[in-house]
Amino acid sequence: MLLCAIVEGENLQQRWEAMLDALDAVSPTVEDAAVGSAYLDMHGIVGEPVQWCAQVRRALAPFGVAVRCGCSEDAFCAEVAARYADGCVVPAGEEAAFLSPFPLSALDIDPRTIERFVLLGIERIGELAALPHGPLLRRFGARAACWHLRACGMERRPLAPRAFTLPIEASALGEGEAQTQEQLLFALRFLLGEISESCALRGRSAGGIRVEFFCDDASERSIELFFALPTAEERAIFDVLRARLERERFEAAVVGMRVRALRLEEAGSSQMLFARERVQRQDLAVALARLEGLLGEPVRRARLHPAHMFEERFSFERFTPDFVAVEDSCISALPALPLPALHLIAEREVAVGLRDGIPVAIGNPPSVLCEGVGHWCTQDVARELPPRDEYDIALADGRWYRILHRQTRWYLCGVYE
Amino acid sequence: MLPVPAPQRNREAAFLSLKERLAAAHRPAPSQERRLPCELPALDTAIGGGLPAGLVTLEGALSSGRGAIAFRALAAASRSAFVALLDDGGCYPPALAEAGVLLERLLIVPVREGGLLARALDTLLRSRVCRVVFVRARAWSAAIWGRFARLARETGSTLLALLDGPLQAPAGLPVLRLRCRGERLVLCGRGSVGGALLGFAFSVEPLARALPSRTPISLQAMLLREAAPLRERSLHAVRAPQRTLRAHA
Repeated sequence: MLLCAIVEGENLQQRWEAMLDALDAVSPTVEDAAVGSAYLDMHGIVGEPVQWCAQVRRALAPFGVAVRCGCSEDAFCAEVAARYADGCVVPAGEEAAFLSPFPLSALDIDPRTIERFVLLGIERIGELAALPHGPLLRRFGARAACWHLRACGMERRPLAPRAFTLPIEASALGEGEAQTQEQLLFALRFLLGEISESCALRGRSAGGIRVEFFCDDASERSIELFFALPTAEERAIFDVLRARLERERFEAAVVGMRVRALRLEEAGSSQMLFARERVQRQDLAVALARLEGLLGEPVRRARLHPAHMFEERFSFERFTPDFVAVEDSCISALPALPLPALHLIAEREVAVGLRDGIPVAIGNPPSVLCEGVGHWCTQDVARELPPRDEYDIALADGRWYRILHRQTRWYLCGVYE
Repeated sequence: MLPVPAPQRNREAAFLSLKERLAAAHRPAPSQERRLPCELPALDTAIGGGLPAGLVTLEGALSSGRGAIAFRALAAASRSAFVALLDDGGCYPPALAEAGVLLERLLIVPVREGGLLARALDTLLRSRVCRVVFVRARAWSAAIWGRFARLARETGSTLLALLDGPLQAPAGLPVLRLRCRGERLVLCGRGSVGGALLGFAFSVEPLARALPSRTPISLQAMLLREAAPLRERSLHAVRAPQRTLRAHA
C-alpha cells in the first residue's frame, strides 16, 4: 500500500527537506515527488491506513502545515485520493472505479488536449479508461499510454526513494595540539582535503563551511563562511578560510577541530571560457574575507533610499559577492513612494528602550513601537554638521517620529504629518 | 643651381630612409594597454585615450576639481567592473551616485586607522578584483607610492590618489600626475540676491612625460542639471554648493 501526502503551507521550499526527514519516522521509503508532495511505501508497516494517515499528520504537525493523505496500491490513485478525497483509502482492485468520476484535469493533461477530448464527448477519467488502448495511442501519441494506464488504475511504478543527505564533515580531536599558525593551517588543510574528497565522491559541492575550534582552556569558537560559488576544491575553500582566520586570536592552544560542509549542492558550475578579464567570484570572496580579517569589519556597499527634498538617505550594508545582482545591475529609478511631510523640531531628549541596539520602545511610560526603520545616515549640509544616525519610528496610535542617536543618548528631532 | 646627379639623390633618399628606420627603432612603441576613459574628451585625448594602469595622482588644493575627475573615472569604470574606495569616514554615497558611480559595484573599504590603509590597499590591488581603487591623500614616502604604482601597473588596476601637494616620485615610475587648479565659479542670475552657484571651472595639467599634450585643459563641473525645474533648481541651489563642494573636494 502506498500513501500519498500532499502538504500546503508557507515557505514549503525552505522547510521541505525537514518535512521529509520527519516523514522518515513513518516509513523508511519516502519518495520526494515534488515540493509539497511525497509518497510513502507502507508495505510491512504495522497498522491500518487510517492510523498511517494519522501518523503522517502527527509527524508534520510541528510545521503548522495543512496535510492531506490518500492510500492506494497505485501511486496515481493515492495522489487523487489525497488531492480530492482527504483520508480516503482505495482498496486494491477498485482503483478504476474510484478514479472514474474525476475530471480529466486530474490526469495532468494539458488544456488543449482536454478540449479535444471534450469535443469527442470524453470528460471524465472513467470515459477515458473505457477507450480502446491502441486507437487512443494512434490518435494522441505515446503520451496517451500513460494517461490510459493511470485512468485504468494500473500504473504500477516503483517508488524512487529519496537520497539521504549525509553530512560531510571531518574532525581531528585528541591528536595533539596546534600552538602556531602553521600547525593550525596544516591541520586545517588536512581536514579540508578530507572534505574535498568526500564532496567529490558524492558529486557535491559546498556553498559554505563551518569550522569549530576546541581550545586547551575548554573554550570553543565557531566560524561560518560562505563562498561566492559552491565549490569542492580544497584550495578554494582553504584560501577563503585562511583569509578569514587572519584576524583570529586564540588564547590557548587548539586541541581539536571539526569542519563541516554547508549548503551542499549538486556539483558543477558555470565556467567563463572567453572572459578571462572578468573577475572570478572566488577571487572576490577571498579579497572580501581577507579585508574583513584585516580591518575587523566587513567591506560595505552603499544603498540610497527615497527621501525628502532636503535630505539624502543612504545606508551601508555588507558587501556580498552577489554576482547575479551585480551583473544585471543598473541603477534603476527609485520607486515613487508617497512620503509624509517631516517637520524638524528642536531636539528633545527622550527615553528609548533598546533590544539588540535597536529601538523597541519610546517615552516614559514607554510606548511600544509598531515599526522602526533605520538607521539613516543623515547629514545637515546647510549647518555643516557631521553625519548622524537617525531612525523613523511608528507608534501604535499612528504617529510617526524621527529620533536621533548621539553617543549614549536619544533625542526626538522630527515629527511626521 | 647645378642639377644633383641621380646616384647621389638615391643615396640621399636611402640615407633618410635609414635614419628614419633607426629613429623608429628607438621610439617608444604606441601603447597597446587598456586605458580607462574619464569620459572627458579633452582630457582623454591629452593623456592618450584615458587613465592608464598604475598610479594616477590628482594634485591640487581643495575645490580644485580633483574629486570631480576621480568620480568620473569611478563612474566610467563601475559600468564594466568593480571599483573600490578606501573610506576614512568621509564617504558620501549620494554624491557618488549623482556622479554616475554604480553603487552596487563599489566596494567601500572602511579604514579607520592610518596604519591599516597601506595593507588594505595592498590587499585590494593584489586581489585584482577592482579596476579602479580610489584613496585620499596620505603622507607616504615616495618609495611607498612607488611600490603601489608598480603593483597597480602589474595588476592592471588604476590607483587614483588624491593629493594635496605634488608627488615627489622617482623617475621611471608608472605615474600619471594630473595637477588641478580651480579657476572660477559659475553663477546663475546676476550674482546678487537670487543668484546661485551653478558650478565651477578648473583646469587640469597632465605632468607625465611622453603624453600627446601637456597643455592645461579647462573643464567645468556643474552642480545642477539644466533640465531641473525652476523651483527645484532654487531648492538645489540652497543646498547644493555645500554638499557638492564637500563631496568633490
